[in-house]
Order: sequence, then C-alpha cells, then structure tokens
Amino acid sequence: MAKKAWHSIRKRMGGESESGGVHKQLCDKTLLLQAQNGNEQTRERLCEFIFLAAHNYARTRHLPRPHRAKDFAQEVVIEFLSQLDEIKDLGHWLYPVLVGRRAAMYRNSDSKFLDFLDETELEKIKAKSEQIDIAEIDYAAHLDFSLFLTQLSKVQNFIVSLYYLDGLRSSDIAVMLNIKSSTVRMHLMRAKKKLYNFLNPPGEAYNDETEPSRA
Amino acid sequence: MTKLNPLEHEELQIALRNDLEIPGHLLERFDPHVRSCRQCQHILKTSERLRKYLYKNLKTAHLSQEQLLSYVNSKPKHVQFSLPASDRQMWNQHHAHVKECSLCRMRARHLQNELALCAEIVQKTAAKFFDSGKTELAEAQPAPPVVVEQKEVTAFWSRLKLVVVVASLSLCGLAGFKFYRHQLPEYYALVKPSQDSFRDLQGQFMGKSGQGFLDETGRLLREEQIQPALEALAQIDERGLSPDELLQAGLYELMATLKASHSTMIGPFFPEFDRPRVQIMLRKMETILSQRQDFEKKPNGYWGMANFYCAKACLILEDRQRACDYLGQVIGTNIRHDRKDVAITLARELGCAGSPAKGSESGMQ
Repeated sequence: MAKKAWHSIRKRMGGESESGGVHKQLCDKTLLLQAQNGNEQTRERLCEFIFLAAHNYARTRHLPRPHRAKDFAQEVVIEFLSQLDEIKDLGHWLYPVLVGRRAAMYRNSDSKFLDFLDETELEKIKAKSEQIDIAEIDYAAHLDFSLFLTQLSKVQNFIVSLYYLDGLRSSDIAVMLNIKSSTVRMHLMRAKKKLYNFLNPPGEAYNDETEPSRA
Repeated sequence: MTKLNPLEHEELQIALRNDLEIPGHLLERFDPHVRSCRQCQHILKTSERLRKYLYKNLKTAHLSQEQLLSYVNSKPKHVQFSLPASDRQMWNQHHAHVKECSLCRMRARHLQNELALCAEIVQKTAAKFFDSGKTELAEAQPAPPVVVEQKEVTAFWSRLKLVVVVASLSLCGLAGFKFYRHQLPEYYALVKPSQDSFRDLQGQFMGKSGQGFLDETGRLLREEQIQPALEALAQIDERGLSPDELLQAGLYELMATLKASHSTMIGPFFPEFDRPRVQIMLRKMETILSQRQDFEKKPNGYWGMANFYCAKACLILEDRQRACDYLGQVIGTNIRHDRKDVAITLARELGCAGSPAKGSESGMQ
C-alpha cells in the first residue's frame, strides 16, 4: 500500500524511478565498508571524491555570498568523516546533505552579517524571540501564530513559508509559483510588514522605507 | 577606503531590506561599515528577529526542510524493511501531512527536483573519479572540477569562434575600406577639405566692401556657420546685384558649398563629397565668370579667389586639367589675395604646366 502511494507521489512530483536516478549507486559498496573498517587509503579516496562532488555542486548551483565552494566542500567532508560509521549508502547520504546544507546557507544568510554583534547582543535577540513565544502563550487568543497566518493571503503564506522555511530565493519562488520575482519580493515585504505590526506594540509603526518598490 | 557614499549606502540598504545579495563592489567595505552604521544594524537585527520567529513557528505548522528531505529521500522499501518502527511511523506521518498540505507537496516537488539535479552533478563526478586510474586520482583534487573542465573546453571553442568571426569582420572591413578609398577623389589629399578654414581670410575679401547682405554672409562664413550662410545666399535676389556683387555672392556660395559637401561618417574616417552638388555649383560659378569677360582685363581679389575655389571643385570632380587652368588664372595675375600662395603650392603639387618652380613664389606675386 505504502509502495503504491509512494509511486503515485513520485509520479506527481515528476521524480526518478525507484531503480535509477537519485538512488543510483555512486560507488562500490565495498569501498564504503573498507573506509568504515579503518582503511586509511580508501577513506582518503572517498574524502577526495566527496570534496570534488560537493565542490562541483556548489559551483553549479551557486552559494550566497560570501560563502565559497571550497569551504562548503570542506564542511561536507568533515560531516562525512563524523558520520562515516552510520552511512549505509553514499548517494543516499550525500544528496540530502548537499541540498540541505546549501538551503541552510541561504536560510541563514542574514545571520552571517551579524558579526558586528557581540555574544550578549546575539543572546538578546534570541531572548527576544523567546519572549515572543511566551507572549503567544499568554495572549493566545490574539498572538496565536496561526491567527497571524490567516491575516496573510494564500500567496503570501506560500511565499513566507518557502522563503523562511526552505531558504529559497525570490527568483526560485517566482519560478515555482509562476509569478515575477519582483511580485514575490513585494508580497514578502507586505507579509513582513504585517508580521512586524503583529509582533510590536501599536505605537511602533513599521518603517515604510522598507517597501520593495524603492528597489 | 571604507566609507560608503550616500548612493552606495542606499543601494546597500535596499539589498538588506529586500534580502538581496550584497552588491559585489560593496562586499569588502560592508563589514566595517555595518559596525558603525546604526541604520544598517537595525535592518539586520529586525530581519534576523523576524526570520528566527517565523522559522520557529512555521516549523510547527509544516514539515521542516530536514524532515521533508528525509521523506523525499526515503523509499518505501526502506520504510518497509530497513527502517526501525519509529522511523516508519514518522515517514507515514510525513506522508499524511504531504498528502494534506499543498504547500508541503510543492516543497517536496522542489526538493525532489533539487535532489535529482544534485544526483546528476555528483554522478557525473563519480563517473570520472571512480573510472579513472590511481594516478589520475591523485591529480583529481587540485585539478578544476568536472563542470569547470567542460566549461574550459567550451570556452576554447567559443574563443576560437570569436577569433574567426573577428578576423573575418576585420577582413571585410579592410576590403570595404579599400573599396571606399578607391571611390574617393584622386586628389582628395590635395583638396584638404577639413583644413580649409575661412577664419583667416582678410576683411576685404569677406564682404567689408560689399553690400549689407553680403557683409552678413561673409561674417557667417568667417564664423564657419556654413549652413546659415548657404541659407542666406539662397535668398539673394541676383537680379539686383552688380557684377562684382554677383561674383562675390557666387564665390561665397562656392566656398560654402565645397565645405558643406564634405562629410565624414565616423570622425576623420570615411570622408566623402557630395559631387553632384559640387558639379552644379561649379557650373553656376563658371556661368558667373563667363558673364563678365572683362574680369580678366580688370581682375580683382574676388575673381582670383573664385578661380582658386573653382580649381578645388575641379579637383573634387577629378578634372586635373581644368583645375590647372583655373590655378593658372590665379597665378598668372598680379592680384594678391589670401589663397594665392596656396594656389602656387597646389599647382606645383599637381604638376601643372607653367607652374612656378619651388622658391620662386615671391617673384610670381
């Protein structure tokens, strides 16, 4: 039953068949076993391969500035070494790692600019977002997040989720929703404005300069 | 230089507000700037706060990207046979959510495509890496990645194509230029149209002794306002002019026409003459000169100048013999005018019969 459901989802997604594509075996499984059993030469060889594959992926798919493909590849190799014993299929492990890491880089692209803040200020921001959660519990009727989501249109809801949850760029979202990139940015800004007003006391108005039309 | 000018600052703020990438030329100065700029810090703090809040809450409403990745990357056979019961249960939960939530279905489709793209890139690398021998393996890491190599090959061919295209275009251009030069008047270099300036002409030849209208035209010519001068000359009622004034007007018109008929397409390159226009003007001037036969008996400065410019017009029309005849008229009289020395030099360069030898110009004057 589950297999049938899976096939129907795959078909709808336009994905690969079970036998090939994404899950095609990358290398001989014995190589992985040898590396897991402590064969230094094989381990080095696999590391070389993963470095090269990650580098190629980063070069082809681009990364947010100022991340570099080399650093990205090194991080993937480090993750590979740390999880080596648990890996059963190299491809099965590698693809989501590459895709997930890249998406996380985009998702956290704002955080990399916060170097100007020291530890205490970062803690303050963290605490502030925690406080919002407490406030939500206290005034659940008004500050319920799902209530906020109802304030957004369906398109805004989609855009906000794709942007903040998956770290997709406005150009990617535009392709997915078949709308213009500038429209995506406009919806995003309006949603942000609503959220800002939702989170802040009525006296503190949202800075209108953030309207994307100025871009 | 670490400071941003107001325009750059605005550009940076727009990028930060719209979550765009920092423009490349500001990247180096961004870090020191943001440490000192409160506005930029505020934008960053606000967006970070919103991002954190939204990520945390959206995760509860939908599947997180990690969950969705593991769901998309798992196969039913893994679920059924290899995964532990808890994972199987989780997969079923995710499956149920994806079935219900259109957003997560869309996200899953996107991730599926991204995974397929990633697999394609990695498999290409694997094919090269694992199929090559040990020695090549050692070189694999420092060497550029596969995609880059392909790009280099493509770049080589495109560069070669570019060179071929540029070479052919240059050849065509050269051939065209040669053909064009061939079409130019033979005596183009001698006519020197671009060097011919009327600014240096003395007052007596530029209308001081003529009527008011001609005075004005002469002034326009001296100021190199060729087109207004031509327009003014077109309005002259020739019937009311004396023969001398008619000659003066004709001379001005000839001078202006010769100047106006010369044009260049691109700066000093590709010069050309409006030869039919020159031809018409030359005929008109010849008619004026032929009306007064006594000019030769009582020649004046206008007459000399008119002959000189008629010679120039003939050179433009590639009629060397007639040009020499006109130059002979100029040199043969004792009347002094502003172009006499030039006429002597021109006659010598053209090799006109009876032209004075070098160094004897003063004797001719």
